[in-house]
Amino acid sequence: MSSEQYHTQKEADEIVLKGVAASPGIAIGTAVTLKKDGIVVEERKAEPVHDLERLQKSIDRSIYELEKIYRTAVDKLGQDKAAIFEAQLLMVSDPIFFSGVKTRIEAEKKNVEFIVSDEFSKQVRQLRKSDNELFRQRAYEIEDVKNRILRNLTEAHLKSKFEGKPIVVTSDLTPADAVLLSRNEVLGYVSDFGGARSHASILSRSLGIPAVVGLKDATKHVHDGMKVILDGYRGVVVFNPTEESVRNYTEKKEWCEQLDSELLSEASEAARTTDGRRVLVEANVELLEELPLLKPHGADGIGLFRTEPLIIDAESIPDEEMQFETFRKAVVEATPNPVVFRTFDIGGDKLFVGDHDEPNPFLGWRGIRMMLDRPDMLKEQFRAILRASVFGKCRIMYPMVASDEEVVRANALLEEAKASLSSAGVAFDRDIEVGVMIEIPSAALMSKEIARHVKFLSIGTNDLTQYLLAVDRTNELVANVFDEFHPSVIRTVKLIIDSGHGAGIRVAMCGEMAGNPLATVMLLGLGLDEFSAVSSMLPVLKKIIRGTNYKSARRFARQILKLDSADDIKRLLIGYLKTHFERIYHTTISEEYVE
Amino acid sequence: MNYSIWIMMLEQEVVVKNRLGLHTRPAASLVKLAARFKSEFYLERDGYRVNGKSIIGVMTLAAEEGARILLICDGEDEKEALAALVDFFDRGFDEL
Repeated sequence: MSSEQYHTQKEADEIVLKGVAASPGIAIGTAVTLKKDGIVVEERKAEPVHDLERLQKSIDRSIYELEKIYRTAVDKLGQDKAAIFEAQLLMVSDPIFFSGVKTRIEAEKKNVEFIVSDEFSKQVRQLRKSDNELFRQRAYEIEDVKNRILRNLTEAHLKSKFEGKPIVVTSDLTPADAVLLSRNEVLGYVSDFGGARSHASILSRSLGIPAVVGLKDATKHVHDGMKVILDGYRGVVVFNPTEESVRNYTEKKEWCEQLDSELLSEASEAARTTDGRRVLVEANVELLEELPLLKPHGADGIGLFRTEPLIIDAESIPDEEMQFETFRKAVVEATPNPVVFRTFDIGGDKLFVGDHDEPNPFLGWRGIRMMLDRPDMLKEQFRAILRASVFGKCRIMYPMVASDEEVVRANALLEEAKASLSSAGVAFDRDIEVGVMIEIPSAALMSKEIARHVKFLSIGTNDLTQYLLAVDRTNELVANVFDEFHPSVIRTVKLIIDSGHGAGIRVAMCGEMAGNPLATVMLLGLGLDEFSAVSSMLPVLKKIIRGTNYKSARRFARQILKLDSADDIKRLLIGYLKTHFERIYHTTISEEYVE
Repeated sequence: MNYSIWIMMLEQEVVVKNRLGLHTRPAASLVKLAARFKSEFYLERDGYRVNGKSIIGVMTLAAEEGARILLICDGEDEKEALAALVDFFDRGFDEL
């Protein structure tokens, strides 16, 4: 999604900014700004008595703040996730560290900001010397504490209590902010940095607070008390709106809320077309916290359970026991519906393990390639999934497969894992289904051959688009060339679906396209069997599917396949959604598609 | 007054046993445990020594699984302190 911003001057001083829709909903209210400019530390002479007193006040204030954050985190997120804030609490009150700081203030007669910053930097440098990437990354925890102490030295306390119901505008929303501020009746979050997948955005969604992030310089355009409209469906923020804008958004807010409650009340109904074709609508899951959303959103199971967040959470490769515990929870929650566990997809833009650098990570050691080079790690993961399979229905999926030979090798390792469990007398589902993610062009072209070795295919549109068009979508210079509606992508999707059906197996899609309402009718018409998307989109997908006739969807898909430009395809898709599902069009289609 | 504190000092080498190493959470537990004793407590790894009552110091050890650490306790309750700390390492910081 583009985070390009533009300004339109409808009337004298209304400012419209476009960012990333991070948490859905519309909010209309007044701004409260949370200024967090970088603190510039100067070195100067200072009176020790005075600065020692300032240091103590800052420490006390920081302890007070962190205690509050810790208590709220325990309350809302549980003891486990709150532990990080407890450690920060110990850091701001570290007696040894601060006695060193105090000694230097007395001896050098320099300002406390300089000494504090210098002492923290030494620790950070020491930590960064480590050979271990995961320990080096811990340095940011120390940086966070340093920034808190420095900020409290300037006595520029971040506000955490507000009058009324504000929309909070800040440069960077941290997870701690999202948690702490939610104790107020905050209507929405607006921030300069961040993406839809940042931890704070995920927290905003689970807290039910609308948010638009990645606006780049929203904080420059706003002051406390300014009227703000936030559209978390579209990723749009309007500062100082005209009366007309307020009227329009108030109206939109009303019918959006009505649509939302309508969608949720129908979510448990099956996704069956008007002429009786039943497809499955499943959830992509990243965090265990998302599990409680499955039932209310009407998920027919989990179509993609990402396992690599476990590594990020545990800061290392989690062992079989830890993986099993996590998988079991997901399976129990989803039962009687299935859970598709994707084996570790490490590399590319996702996290490196250890110190490892490649000139072309997207074309490098990632996904199943890495796992086949580490067979013990893969077998351990297989065992964890197999053990979880007695608690419900599990499936296994391999990511980043380029050829059928990799599937054969992974399947052989799976058999070894099964054999080791059997000989240990451990029960598991012997008929566990295996599938492959099709996201590399070679795999798409060979999908007929690959289909012979598995029970299902699942199309990953993000990587597929990137590899088909040879565009690194994280590279801003070429990001505009990335287009999942390019005819080559649509035709490849059709090829994969036909290959799967030719082999008599199901074809799913778990890439972003599966959750894009613009694509739903087309994908249905191409014959897709299973849609897997972020759970909040499932009620929308189901409503579209239930309101569509399969035969006309097939005709529509054939029409799309004849087009030879992405723009023509998008125009047709937008027109269709606008005509047939107007309310959905207005709540879900991001601004980049709106003419 | 126990004069032995001036001449005595107990030390023992331990190995980090848990998979994630001495990361933030066990570092927090370790300092909390050390704070229960009057003795001074240091950890040393390859000649780099940190005060065991400082969580920031302990974090900078970056002690991963398999790291060998020398624990040093010095003070009136050094025996009890060292025993408790060695035990905490042996239990893999309760993460085994």
